Amino acid sequence: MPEELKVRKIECGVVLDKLPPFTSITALKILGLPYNRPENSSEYVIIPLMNVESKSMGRKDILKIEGSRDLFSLVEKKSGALALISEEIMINIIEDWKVVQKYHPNVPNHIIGLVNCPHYNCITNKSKEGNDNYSTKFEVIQRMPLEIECIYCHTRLKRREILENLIV
Amino acid sequence: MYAGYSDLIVIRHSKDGAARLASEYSIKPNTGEIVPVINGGDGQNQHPTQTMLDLYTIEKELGKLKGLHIALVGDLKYGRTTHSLLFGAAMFGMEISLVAPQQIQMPEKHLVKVKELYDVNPKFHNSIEDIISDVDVLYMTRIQKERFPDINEYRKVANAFVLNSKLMELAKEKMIVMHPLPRTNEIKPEVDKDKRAAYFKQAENGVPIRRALMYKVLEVV
Repeated sequence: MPEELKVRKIECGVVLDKLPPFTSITALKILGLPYNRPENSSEYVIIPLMNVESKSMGRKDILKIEGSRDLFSLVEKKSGALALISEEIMINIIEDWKVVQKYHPNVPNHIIGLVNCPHYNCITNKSKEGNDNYSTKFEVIQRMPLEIECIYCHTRLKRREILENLIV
Repeated sequence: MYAGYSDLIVIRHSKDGAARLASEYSIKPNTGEIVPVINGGDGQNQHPTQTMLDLYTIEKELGKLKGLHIALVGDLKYGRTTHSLLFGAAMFGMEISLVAPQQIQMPEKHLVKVKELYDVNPKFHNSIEDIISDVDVLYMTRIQKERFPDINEYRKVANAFVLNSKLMELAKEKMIVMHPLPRTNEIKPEVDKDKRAAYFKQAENGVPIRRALMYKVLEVV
């Protein structure tokens, strides 16, 4: 952590580092943590740092979440979705004030129920008359740069469109 | 649940991907047996059995597929028959031209995929007249007025995509005109008498082709 950030260390929790600028709120949404609703009380302390200077990235976001060890499995479970923001994100697991594990998230080969298909006529989009709502399924076509394809209507999405259509 | 009642499901649906989705659920509840699903046309996506009978018709009428020049004409954006035929024609080594107003040209996603799969780069044209003398197969489809936000835009382009006897004079002696039917005004009735008009034979060919497909899928032959 750059010294000038003046944000204290956390005792137990998770730090998501190297988030692209202004994506920390998206990361919070993916994790399902409350970020804008006071009524959803939580014991977690959430510290989003937005658009801070970074040697490697120019600018970046950092998301610190302090709480219990439950956070470790939560973040691991959601790491596939976090990777849709960027696979460069560094997930730091903190225990007793120390980083005990760090890893990058990976985009899974099959992306199920994480991204809406933007094609209005795709079967995964609810029809006017029907109540059925089917889970979306995408396959990774290309990893660098990321491109995914809806297995139903073959609509392809690049990173920016993926973020615009995240189910959060 | 239809899987429990049947040995084969043919689905025609207004939504893209409906057949694919149906195939994920087509399992007999008692035995776990998989019931095959045939896509009879899904939304704006694909119409694979139409392409099977289209390719059969070309082969039957012209004796081959490879190397022939096919022009897909009309609503290439929303028309599922042309999406499937783009892939079918590319798969069998045909030269492909796409003839449509810019607003309803072939979607980029299909062009990218056909390039990836078959290294095919179709050519683009703005009118039938530009291309008719060069093609072996003229594949007509309907342009729907409602696809254009402005009716004047439609009027401007619509005539460039209507086939009449005068245009047929520019066509090769040995070529065929196809259409997935039903047609509206994009092929004038006067063309029906032309020996190169193959669209009614094409429609009839759907019977043996779909029959053969069902036999094959049910493994009864």
